[in-house]
Amino acid sequence: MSWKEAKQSSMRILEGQGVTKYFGGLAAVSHVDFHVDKGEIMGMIGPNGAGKTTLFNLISAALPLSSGEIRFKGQKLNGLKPHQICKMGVSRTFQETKVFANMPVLQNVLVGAFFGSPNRVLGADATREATQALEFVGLSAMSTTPVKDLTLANQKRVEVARALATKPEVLLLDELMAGLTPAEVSEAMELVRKIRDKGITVFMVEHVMKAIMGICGRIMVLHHGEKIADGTPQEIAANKTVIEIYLGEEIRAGS
Amino acid sequence: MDIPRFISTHRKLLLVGFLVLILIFITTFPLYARASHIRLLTTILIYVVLAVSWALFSGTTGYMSLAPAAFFGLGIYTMALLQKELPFFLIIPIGGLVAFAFALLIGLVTLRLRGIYFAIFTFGLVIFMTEIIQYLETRLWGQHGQHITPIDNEPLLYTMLVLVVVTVLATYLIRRSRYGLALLSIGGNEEAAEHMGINTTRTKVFIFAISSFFMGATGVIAAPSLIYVNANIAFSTYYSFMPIFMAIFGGMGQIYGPIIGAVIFGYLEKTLRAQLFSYFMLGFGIIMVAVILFLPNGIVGLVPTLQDKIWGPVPALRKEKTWKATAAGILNILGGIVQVIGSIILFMGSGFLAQFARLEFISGFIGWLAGLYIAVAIVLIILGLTAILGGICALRRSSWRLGLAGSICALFSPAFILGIPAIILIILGKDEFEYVVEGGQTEQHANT
Repeated sequence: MSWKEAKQSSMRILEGQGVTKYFGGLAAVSHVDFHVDKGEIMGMIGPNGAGKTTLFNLISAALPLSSGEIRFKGQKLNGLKPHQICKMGVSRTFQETKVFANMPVLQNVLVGAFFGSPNRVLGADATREATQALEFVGLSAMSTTPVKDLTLANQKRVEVARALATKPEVLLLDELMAGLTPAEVSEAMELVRKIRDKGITVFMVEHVMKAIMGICGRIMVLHHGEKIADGTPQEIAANKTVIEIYLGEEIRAGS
Repeated sequence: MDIPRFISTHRKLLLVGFLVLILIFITTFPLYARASHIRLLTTILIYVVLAVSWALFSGTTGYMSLAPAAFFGLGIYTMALLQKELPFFLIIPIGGLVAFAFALLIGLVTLRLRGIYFAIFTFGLVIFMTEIIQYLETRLWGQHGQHITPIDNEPLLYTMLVLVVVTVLATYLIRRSRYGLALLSIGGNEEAAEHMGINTTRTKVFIFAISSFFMGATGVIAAPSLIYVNANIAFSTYYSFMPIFMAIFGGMGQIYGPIIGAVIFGYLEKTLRAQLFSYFMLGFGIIMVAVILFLPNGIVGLVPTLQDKIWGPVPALRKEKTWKATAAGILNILGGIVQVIGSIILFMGSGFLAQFARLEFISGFIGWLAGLYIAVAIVLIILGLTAILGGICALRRSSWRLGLAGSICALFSPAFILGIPAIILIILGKDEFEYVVEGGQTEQHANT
């Protein structure tokens, strides 16, 4: 291994090789190789049913792999449980928000602070951690409101705060901006940049093109469970296959 | 004096004082109560432990366990089999541990089941236990059922009291610990809880087993009063459903919800079931349906709403207060007081009848009459309290609807003469309950 390759692999905080998931006979994710470098914002796009959320579920161990392997900081994740993945430093949000609806905002974030970090956290530290996370996403004013009373955009912020409170090194954001108004999308983009600036690596699935093209350093494209492209936003936007099966569709749908 | 403020500032002190009073009441109870009343109190305490420990697991996680009877019955059988080998006080923790170990085993297998499947499995478990014990008894011991040597009422009451204190304290500590937060988040969204670093399987199995420990220990203490048990008695599904209904009736959001539910229904069951069994079950069913439909958080869930209506801030009224609604409020309160007094007389009357009959289980016409007295007294005390609360609402102009409800309640009593003018006056004075909203519109306070 050359010096350059070694440096490259040490930068790879999360990587997958031959990642495959079958649902019955159908390959939802098929032989996908990917890697996420430390400190970048990595995007993942693809048409509906391309396997993006499935790939996230495989990384966070919500689903077991059919074959292949996923490594976090060189450590194999195969066979671990979701709570162990979270404690190692990979946290996530959900496409359809999965909040603790009847609990107040602060309690929601406290769950992450208490249970998500690798070490045992004491009560006072957890509260401080949760308060800071809420402040970071801009929800301090609502800390006692039950989450079910918040708007969708704010519920998504609660999910982000809850994930941040687990002190992750990699944050998986599954369609953070879906269903948000244009103004809320800009705020969410700003938030993602702030998270990256904190030193947290972001891996995000997104349908909002403006957002993904605007903030991602690198983008990979999934189609029918296979990776068809990987590169900078400019490269992706110029990629013929991508335009044919994905971006073109968007443009036609948008016109 | 500002009562609500006094309560909120001295909350802890009042609570401790109240708990001490209850403890004194229970410990001195045998000094002045009859044997049947001591047994009644012991039964209530048994239900308190069952309801509280059931709510500890099922109330927080939302996993509806129908298995309390399985663990309770295990405790009963532990007592039946070990009574000759070991002292009573040693069998109590052993019964708990047997239930704990069994729950660990069951939990590891079944807590992957969700929703209705888990409920059905736990229900099947109770029936399975009945069958397996019956099989074992006939095959191994060649007998049907077990005899248990009775123990005096007082020691049973005191051991039960100790178990109640331990259970409530343990539940309180678990609920406010990180485990409590983990349980609530599992109830909120199990998948998210798992992804936030909670080992959900371990948490669920452990707490399920803890709650079963208390059920098993209770079974040991409940056993001597049964004298004879067989599998059908020990594992009766009645012991599964009663604690669940009590917890739901009382409300599971607070630890005292199941306690209140258990005290009310434990008392009613013991006093009414012997004489008016079918009516008791009918009334019980109606109350359960009403609670599930209208009070999803149980009667404890009513407290903040009522507090707000009765002592909460009242917005500026559009009209001057006149004598009409005030008079209606006073009539309501008077009617309510008459009803409460009436119900107390009826309660005493039923006690007198019981004394008169000089029997443990009063039967025949006198028993029926005593049961009727209690039933009427209970209805009357509910009506009376509603009338008084409605009266306060009418006086403060805080809720027209509650005021009217109070007047209607005041109608059903010896003091119905007070109810009629109260209803008329409160309807006439309806406009006094309208208050000024920003922007000049008026609105009914009760509608908010």
